[in-house]
Amino acid sequence: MNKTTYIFVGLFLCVYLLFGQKDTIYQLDKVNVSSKIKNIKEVKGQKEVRLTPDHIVNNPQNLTEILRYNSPIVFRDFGNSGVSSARFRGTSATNTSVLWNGIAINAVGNGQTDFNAISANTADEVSVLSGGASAIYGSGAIGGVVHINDILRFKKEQRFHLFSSYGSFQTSTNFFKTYKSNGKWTYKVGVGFIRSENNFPYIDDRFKDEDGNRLSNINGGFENYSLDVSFGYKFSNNNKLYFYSSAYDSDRSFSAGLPNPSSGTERNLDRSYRNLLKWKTSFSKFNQVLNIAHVSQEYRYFGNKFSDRFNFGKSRRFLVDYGLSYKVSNQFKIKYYLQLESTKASTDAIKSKKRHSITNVMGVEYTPTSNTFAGFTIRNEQNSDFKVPLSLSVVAEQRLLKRVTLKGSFSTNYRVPTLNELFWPAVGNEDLIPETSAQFDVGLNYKSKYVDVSYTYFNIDLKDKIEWRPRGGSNLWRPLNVESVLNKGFEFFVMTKIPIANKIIWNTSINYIQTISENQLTGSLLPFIPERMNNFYTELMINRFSLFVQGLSQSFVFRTDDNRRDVQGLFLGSVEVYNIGAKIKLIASKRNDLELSFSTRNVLDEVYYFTNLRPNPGRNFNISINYKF
Amino acid sequence: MKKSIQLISYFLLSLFLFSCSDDDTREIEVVADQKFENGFFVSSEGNFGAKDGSMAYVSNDFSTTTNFAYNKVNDVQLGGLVQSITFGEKNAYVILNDANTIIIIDKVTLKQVAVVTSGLGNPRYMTIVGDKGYITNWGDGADTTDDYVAVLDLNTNRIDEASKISLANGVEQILNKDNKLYISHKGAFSTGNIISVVDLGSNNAVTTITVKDKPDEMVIAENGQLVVLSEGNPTAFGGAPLFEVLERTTAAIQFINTSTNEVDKEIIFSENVGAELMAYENGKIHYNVGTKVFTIDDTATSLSSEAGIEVGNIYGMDVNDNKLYTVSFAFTSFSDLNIIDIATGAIEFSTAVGLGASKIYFQ
Repeated sequence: MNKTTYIFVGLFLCVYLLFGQKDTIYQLDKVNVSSKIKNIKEVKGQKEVRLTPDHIVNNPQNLTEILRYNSPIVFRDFGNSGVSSARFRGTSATNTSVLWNGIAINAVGNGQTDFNAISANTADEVSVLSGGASAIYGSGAIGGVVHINDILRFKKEQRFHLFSSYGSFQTSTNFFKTYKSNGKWTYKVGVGFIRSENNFPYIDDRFKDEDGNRLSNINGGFENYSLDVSFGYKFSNNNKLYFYSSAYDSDRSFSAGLPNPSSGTERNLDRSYRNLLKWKTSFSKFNQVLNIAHVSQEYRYFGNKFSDRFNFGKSRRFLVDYGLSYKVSNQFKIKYYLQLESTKASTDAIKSKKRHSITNVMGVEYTPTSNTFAGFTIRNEQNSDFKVPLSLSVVAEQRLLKRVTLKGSFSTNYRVPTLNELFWPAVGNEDLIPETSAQFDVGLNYKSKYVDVSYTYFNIDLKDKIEWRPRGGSNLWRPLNVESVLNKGFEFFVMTKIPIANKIIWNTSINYIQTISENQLTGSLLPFIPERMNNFYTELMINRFSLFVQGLSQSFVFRTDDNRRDVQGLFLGSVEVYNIGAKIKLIASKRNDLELSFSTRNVLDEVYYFTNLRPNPGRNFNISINYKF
Repeated sequence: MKKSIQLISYFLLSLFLFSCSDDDTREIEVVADQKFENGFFVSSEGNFGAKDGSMAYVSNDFSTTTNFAYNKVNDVQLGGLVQSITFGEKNAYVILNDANTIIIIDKVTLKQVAVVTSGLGNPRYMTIVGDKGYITNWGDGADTTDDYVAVLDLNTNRIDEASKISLANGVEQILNKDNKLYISHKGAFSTGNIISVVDLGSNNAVTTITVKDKPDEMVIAENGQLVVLSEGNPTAFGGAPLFEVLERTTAAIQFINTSTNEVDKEIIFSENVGAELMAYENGKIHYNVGTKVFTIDDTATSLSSEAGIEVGNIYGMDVNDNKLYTVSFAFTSFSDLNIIDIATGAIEFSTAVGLGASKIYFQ
């Protein structure tokens, strides 16, 4: 950490000491609609940022954008139509676990979630949990966890939410959601549709065609559809049945980028279906939840979209999980859950493989006073393919002042080898063992009526990291348990809601994360991990009008292990992007809320890259309508 | 309340100050109008799709190494996997395999002359005959019927699509002799075992010569023979961490009479042994087996029985003035270029070149 950082941290420690908080969850919405889903698998003592449809409508194009501008996660993507993967707290793409209504959905093939091939627009809440949580969520929860949740309520009501936007490069994002409940029954239907030609000009003026004209993003179009249907039935307050279902279909072309965009011919189709039956009951001091889920995913990749040949991968997962919690006293709670999972997956190169696992989790929660919380969880998984390490977590929270809470956690986490890593013909390595991490984090939170602040220091010691490396004098890359990596840094979060005058409100939220990810063998920094990333959203609301600015700033990243920065291409320069816009509420009654929004993205027309020679769009425009009734 | 606003303002301010504190630095080591005349070049592939291939210049007295020389002169990256470079009279032709592009540069100043972006499909190697460049192309690597040689007009710097020469699957290296093109068919995504001969003087008539599996490197020997190295097709690999090739089909160095297109002589490697790299100078053939390089005369009838020179894992090699030039196998960090005295096996000079360095070019 340099001097500036110390000053920076010092300044904010002052802020914490001046004020004081209790809740560790940051609900970022203006209108609080989501009631927290009470679940046995719940994390306390760690930092969580919750995003609502109010955030989604600001960055509706894909989940990468939503999270990039509103959460502490760093992304590496190949453009809006390309593959996008997370780098949470400096960890690799497989170390962020994505859960849909509590069910882990990272791909079986490569262990990752492609954040440009998943829909969150019809979800009711996206929450981002920082830090390892394998004891609760299993494999992949090393850097953190992203939840995508649908929320069903049994309150008598009928609601609709319609959103439609149109912008530069023929980009259109639309969704419609409807909710209805008679108190006994409840249902939700969500439909989403996104389409873009994505044929923006490359504003990096060092590259021109032979006539001196700008090149453009050829073969970069995408479209996707999503459909969510969920039901709930309340037998009684203590006995509720839910069914969630989601279908997603995406068709993307992968552009080739510079220097020759016309050479792009790749195309990728993704499809997924997810079904979940959830039964929650409680009696005397017991709570129980039974989940039965089926998740299937499939991709087809065309190296040449004009040819019939394609590569594919598909997987089916079937899960049954049962959780029971028992409230021993007002201070003690015991939790247990059992999970059975069966996975069947194949690709064009890997014949059908099956994997089974049985998982037992035990947890204890201790709340001696309303100011103190401590929890302990231990997880044991038996897997048919390899030995999975025991995972445990210890968390604690202590309120120090009225508004200041100290939190800490220690956990051991893991990520199991993926299907591709184990079985890809000629290169797969069946001797791989799971990656494991030991992490601790310590945080301070302050919460008042107007300001939420949190500072969290983290330290992740990762062993046996799986890396693809060229082996044995041939250009074949193979996965190996090679590296030991230490990630340390801090996350900083601020949210303010300040009434300046009557009907004038200033809202701001800021994420700031500093990370040093060091290879313990070589001492070099990991490629593609920026030392610093921050994003912010600030909005001034004056009666029915509001003006907003959204920003993303990221320091340079190395591209190679030897951390060379002497020539371009071996590092990617820092990123500084701002979006601005204005919103007008045409209707603002209790039952009707119609908002029109105009925005300009990359308003400074900056050239910036997240991947070498794949430029992002320059200044572009968007208009949207957001109607809730 | 007032206090909060003040604090938040400080906070916002500090963020922006912090944001600006780490500027990117870029060191340009070349001077204006620098000439790259008295030295040699090394091309580095970079990683497929990562657009980080490069070319390095090393002066003949080894006093300077200029990595990413093209970038430094032109202030842009080449932007692809540098499969190979062909040097013409005035220009050099840098073939970017994954970008289906050829960057044409002045071979002395390295300044960009033109960029060829159409008419190429997975381009591999080029040879020059008169004012035409002949470039091998896989087409779609998985398609066994769309391989071809593209013809580049060196005056207009455009591909003449009408002159395209269709060939059998898996075209790789190309060289010319007596107005004929010789193309090794390594096999692209599969395995090939032929050399195609294209007679430019007789309406591009194609004849084929059958050789061992996976022919790649070719040279014309002093006696006029075409010398072909076939690696053999690997069929079984060992386990972690090295995954060495355990079994392969027959590998060989074969000598072809270019008048009859017959194999005059062949030197067969022992069972499951093969070589990937071959270099030729002054009647001597140098080839690698594993981490060692061996030398035989082109008149030899059997492989070397010497101990060989230990060179480590190498991805490319060449010979100049009785010195062996090797580039180490490295794709996640810079490769090492080593210059080795063939007589003693001692390393005389070593320098870091780009990512995945693969080929050396002498003027």
